[in-house]
Amino acid sequence: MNRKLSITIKALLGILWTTVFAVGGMMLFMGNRVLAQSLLIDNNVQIISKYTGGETSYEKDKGGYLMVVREPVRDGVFNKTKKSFVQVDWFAKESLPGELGGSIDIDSDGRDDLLVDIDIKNNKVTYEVYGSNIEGLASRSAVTDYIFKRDEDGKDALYHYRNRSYGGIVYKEGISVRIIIQ
Amino acid sequence: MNKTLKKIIVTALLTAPFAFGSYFVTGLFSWRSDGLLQPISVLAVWLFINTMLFITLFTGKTDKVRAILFITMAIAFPIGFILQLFELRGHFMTAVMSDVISGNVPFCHIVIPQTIIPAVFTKQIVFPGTMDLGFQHSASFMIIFWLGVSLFIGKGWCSWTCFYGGWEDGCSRLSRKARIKLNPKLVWGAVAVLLLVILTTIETASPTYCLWLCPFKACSEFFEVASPLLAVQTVIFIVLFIGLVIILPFLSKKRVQCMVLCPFGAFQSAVDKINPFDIRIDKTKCLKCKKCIKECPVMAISEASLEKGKMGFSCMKCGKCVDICPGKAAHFHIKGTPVGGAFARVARTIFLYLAFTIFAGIGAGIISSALYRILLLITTGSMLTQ
Amino acid sequence: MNNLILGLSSGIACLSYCVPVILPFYLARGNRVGKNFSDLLLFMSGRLAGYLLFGIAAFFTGRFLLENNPYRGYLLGGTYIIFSIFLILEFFRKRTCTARKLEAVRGKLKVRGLLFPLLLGFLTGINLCPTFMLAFTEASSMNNLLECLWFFFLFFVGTTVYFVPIPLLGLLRNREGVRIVGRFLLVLVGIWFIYKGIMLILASGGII
Repeated sequence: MNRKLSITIKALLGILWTTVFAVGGMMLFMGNRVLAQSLLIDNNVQIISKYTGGETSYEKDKGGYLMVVREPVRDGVFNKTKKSFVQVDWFAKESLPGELGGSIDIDSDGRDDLLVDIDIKNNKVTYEVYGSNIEGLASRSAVTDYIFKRDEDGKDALYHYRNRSYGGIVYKEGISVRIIIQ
Repeated sequence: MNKTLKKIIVTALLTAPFAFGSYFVTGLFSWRSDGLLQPISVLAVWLFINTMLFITLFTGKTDKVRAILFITMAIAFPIGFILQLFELRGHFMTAVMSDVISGNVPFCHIVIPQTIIPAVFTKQIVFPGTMDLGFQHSASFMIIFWLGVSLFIGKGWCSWTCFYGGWEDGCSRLSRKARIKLNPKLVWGAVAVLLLVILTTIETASPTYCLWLCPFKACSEFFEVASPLLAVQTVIFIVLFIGLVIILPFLSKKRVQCMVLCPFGAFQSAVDKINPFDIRIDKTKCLKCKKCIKECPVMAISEASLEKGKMGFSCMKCGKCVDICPGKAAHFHIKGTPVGGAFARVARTIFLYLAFTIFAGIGAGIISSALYRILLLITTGSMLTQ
Repeated sequence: MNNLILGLSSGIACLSYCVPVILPFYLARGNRVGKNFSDLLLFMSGRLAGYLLFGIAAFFTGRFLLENNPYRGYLLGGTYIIFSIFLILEFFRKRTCTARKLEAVRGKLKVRGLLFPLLLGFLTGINLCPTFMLAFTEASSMNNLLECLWFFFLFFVGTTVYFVPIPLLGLLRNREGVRIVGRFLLVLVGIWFIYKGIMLILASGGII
């Protein structure tokens, strides 16, 4: 082929490549929200459950605040651990009462598995276990170290936060505990 | 007509479409604030960016203007970012475990390479954050944004978009002469770190780079030292920040952390293969003075690469070699087109438009929010909005 | 996942050193890509056999030394650390590959035809490099022979990734880069396993 022609064709292809990418990039910037929704969120791409606490098993309206019991979560990406934890959250649109808790059925079998008593002000959780497969509460520092590290005395088991988004609503105050299951 | 005046008019005409476009990108059209401080900050940044584009088009020099923008962004970033998170969470510069499970941890671009394999195979992102589009720093936003930048300028991210890189860039410009010489083999370090963090992230199901290595926790946020392990991680990031971001760049005049450690940079080098822009050397004009080899901040040029007229994989399109080449042999280039000549001017102008557009999108937000906080401090005595 | 990580990290280092030997071997034997692949297949089968043999040995070592041993955590953690240090030292040593030594004695062995790649593979397979010993340590803590063999099989898969492109010679343009990355990775993986060893010891001592 004529050398000059081949150079021109290559140059035109290069410019076409640049144009397509520039337009494509601009579309990605302008349609960021829509594309993030359709490409990622609608396709169920999620933050790993060990951080978020996992899918909701059931919710209970406690009058003034909401209790959410999650599905069991196992650690790992491809090779999951045998142990799991169940996260329980309490969310309030304004503020939570200073003390709350009660019996919780973590596996939705109709029977209560443990009784928790949370003193938010003093950051203390006391609990009583009914089910034999429950190992105890997970320690807070375990989120980055060892996810199944146990909290022995209930002083390091309560997560307390604000401005938490759940189900499309931002809750001003929220607390969670994680229950380790064998 | 006077030649300079003619040049000014041409440059102004070239800047005008960007000035119009960036008006929308910087968010000037969406003044919703109660006070005047926010619009004033945004307007100031808009003027700043457009002036910079004018200067770079007028002078034909790229790197110095880029560095001013880039370093300003890096210094501004912690001011806006840290205060915004402080208002969200109520504690300063530290993330606590409650932030992790409540999703109030911002997603950063450096996380992307280590999370990509689990995300593809299991649809899980191994990083504590949120996909919620309401949260400004959500993972979903950053992933789409990264895709856009990769299409626009590829590895150019590392010298035009990264809001951390300016720290090193700044430190590497502080001394006049390099006091130590680094081994060019070090550029492969980041690739090894990339492989390590990908593998260990899969193994531990936690973002190992962020927990163990990221030095930029020093200018954004870090974990509260709640366990001995977290104490070790804290010491590591402080040492890496002081060593690789401040001292070594100062001594060597190179962007050491970017070359040796940053897994995102290594990843972006691979992504860059699909991008149409690169820097080329016109071999017929090269004087073989090797100035570019000496000056390249990321050691992307070697004698072998000069021979081929191409840059090494660590090139981040900062334009320094283009500016300093005495023989005017280094050029911005669109793959497929001939090297140099009118094509080089077109390639540079288009590249600058794209790079400045991204800067208007992210850098302007970062700088204006820092400026806003500073103005707030001057007028109210507090940097907080609440 | 450890097995894959070990395989991947050792593979990239091993390969970069072995390629200069294996490459001429391929070039000398068959010029067609198809022939190269069939040789590679034989080479890989030899390697797999070597690895599986190691899997069995690791299992019995674990059975006799570690089962019901109260110091199991300390022993495993200690071995991790020792072999990791060797792995890091490897960075400073000028490495030679088993394949290179083999090529030297090839003439003397007078092994020809299909058998040679098979033997080459087997002998590189039982090469006692530090990453391999780490895999051995890891596998010896398993309590099931099949699990152990599966572990070594995955380790094999991890290293194999790097051998696949050999017949497609063009893919290895930047051999120097692969070699340097491999060496850096040795150090990084070494540090990672030292960390794991320390954690194992601390966990056994009930400290964490």
